[in-house]
Amino acid sequence: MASSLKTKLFAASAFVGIALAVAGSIVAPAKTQTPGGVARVNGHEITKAEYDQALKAYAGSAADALDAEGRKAVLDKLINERLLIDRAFALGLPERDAKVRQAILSAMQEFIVAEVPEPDDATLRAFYQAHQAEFTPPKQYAVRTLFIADSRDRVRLGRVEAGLKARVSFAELASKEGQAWDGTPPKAALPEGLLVRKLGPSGAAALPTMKVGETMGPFEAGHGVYYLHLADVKALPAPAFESARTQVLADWRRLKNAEAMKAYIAKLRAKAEIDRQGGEGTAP
Amino acid sequence: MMRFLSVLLLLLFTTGAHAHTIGRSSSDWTVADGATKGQWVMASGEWKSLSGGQGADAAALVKSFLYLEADGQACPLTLPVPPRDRDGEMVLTISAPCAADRISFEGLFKAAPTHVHLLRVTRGAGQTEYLLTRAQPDVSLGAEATGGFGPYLHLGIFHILEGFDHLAFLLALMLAVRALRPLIWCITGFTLGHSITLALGALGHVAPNSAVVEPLIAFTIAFTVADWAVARSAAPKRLMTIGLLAVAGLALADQLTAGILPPVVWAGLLLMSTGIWGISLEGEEKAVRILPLVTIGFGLIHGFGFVGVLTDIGLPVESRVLALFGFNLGVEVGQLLFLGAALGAFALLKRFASRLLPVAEPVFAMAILAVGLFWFSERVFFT
Repeated sequence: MASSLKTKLFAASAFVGIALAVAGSIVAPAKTQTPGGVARVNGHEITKAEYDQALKAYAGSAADALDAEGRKAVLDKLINERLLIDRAFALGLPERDAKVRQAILSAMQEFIVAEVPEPDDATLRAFYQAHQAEFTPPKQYAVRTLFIADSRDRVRLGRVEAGLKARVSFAELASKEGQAWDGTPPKAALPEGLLVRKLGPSGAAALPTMKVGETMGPFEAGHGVYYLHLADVKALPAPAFESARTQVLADWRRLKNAEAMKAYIAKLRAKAEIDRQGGEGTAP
Repeated sequence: MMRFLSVLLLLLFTTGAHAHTIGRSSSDWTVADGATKGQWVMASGEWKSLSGGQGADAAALVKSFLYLEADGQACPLTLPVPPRDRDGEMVLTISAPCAADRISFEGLFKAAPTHVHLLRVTRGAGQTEYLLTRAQPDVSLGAEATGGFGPYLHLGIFHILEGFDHLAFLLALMLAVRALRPLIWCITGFTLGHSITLALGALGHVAPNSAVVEPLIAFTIAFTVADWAVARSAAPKRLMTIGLLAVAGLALADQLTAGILPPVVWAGLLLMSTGIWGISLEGEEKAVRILPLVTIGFGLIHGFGFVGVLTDIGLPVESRVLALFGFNLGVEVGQLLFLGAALGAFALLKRFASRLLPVAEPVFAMAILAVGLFWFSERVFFT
């Protein structure tokens, strides 16, 4: 090969090589639109998925048949929305408007709990076993009452106390000394939560401490007082897992969602700089 | 002489991880409604270096670096948003409940004396820019802007004199081109090349990929020394073959591991090596003729490297072109200062210890080659 041709070839090789090296060290210009995007507004991309969803919302099943004018209108709507959202943030609406703030908080909560996976059957059964007491129906109490309309009626009260001491049956004593009372509980056994409405908190609170056949009182009820007699207690068995599945799932979700929220907030707090001005809200 | 070379080698290796040791950052401040709010941006690597690694208390660190004053009273600083990493940049959001009239980065310059900071302040309708360095660590906000030609000229000089990889390339070039006139042509070509890419990159017309540019800069150093070796070797063809095999081996290793350099760049490096070393085989006369053109190409690559500093700091909005011109001129001034010193040292060596030259030259060449390869490997395989 002639020397000059060889030199030219070497020179060409050198320059092409340098050109390739220089060209390869330049970052490809940022595309104004990524393959999945249909528009870019202030640097924010409107994705194809968002656009398709908007088309469907606008035209339903006829979205595919929408003409160019209609499609442009939908995209314009998305662009306008993006501009308004950007503006809302620029104006500080999330800080200033309670409704916006609440909507964002709700959306964030949904976003966080959306990360919680669905439990499988074994997880739910294990959860049920560990929390069986919470799914077991509460004890039901069959009670009788003896009401004295005037708490200052010492004579009647004295007779009742004497009767109780003499072990007169409560039914007999009640029919003899008891007065009419609109708070009289039904004879059927009921859970403590329901009885509290009739008996008031002090009488209902005494029930778990009483033995069947025991009488306690007097408890105050308006201007009067009443004696409480526990006739029977029914302890219901825990339900089978299958019949409680819906409640187990709901409880599992509630617990896990609370845990996810707590962990997420803890992470945010770890990164955040929180300065309680003037010690406000700190423990004394 | 040997001791000097050892020290030089040690110096270059120990600065290998950061061939440029100048830290750069910029911040934008708005003073309005009795409050001052700012955003301080710097490369994440720079933040790590300043904070001494992980776990540093960002707020405490910022307070130790930065001081805001209003009516002679210190303004308490807070970071309402935690520092965040945005694509390799650390963004610090800072606020103070006062209308600052003085901003001082004195603490920063005490911790990092070579740091350079571009400060932009918006007050009312006007924006003013100040280039802060250790020499001018603070500014009264009513003062005239200091972000134009002068500070950027200073920055350019500072940058080239601290940029050991660019200096190493100049030394390699001095080794490969011994006669003064061809050397002037080569330096001119290098200057032309880096001026083009510096301008294009700094003005945003092209965006260099620093992950590719930095290894390429190191490659030009090792390559230039290898070219010197091929041109002077008794068995140039064998050396050229070894060189090409080494380049191919590095390409293969990179592609099989991190894949830092794109295949097109490796193809370019192989073609370039074949072409330039091939011409070197044809004699010094042809090699010397083509070298200025080659150095334009190398200058294009180094220019992309210079863009990095201006990307980190930014150019003042009001006087972008003037500041860019100042920076480029500063780079040239720094380059000429270094070349003058190096040529002076060489002349002294030639005059007073000429018998050492036959030994010193290859040792010096090997030192530069080793440094170039070290930086290249570090930037490709150990990033």
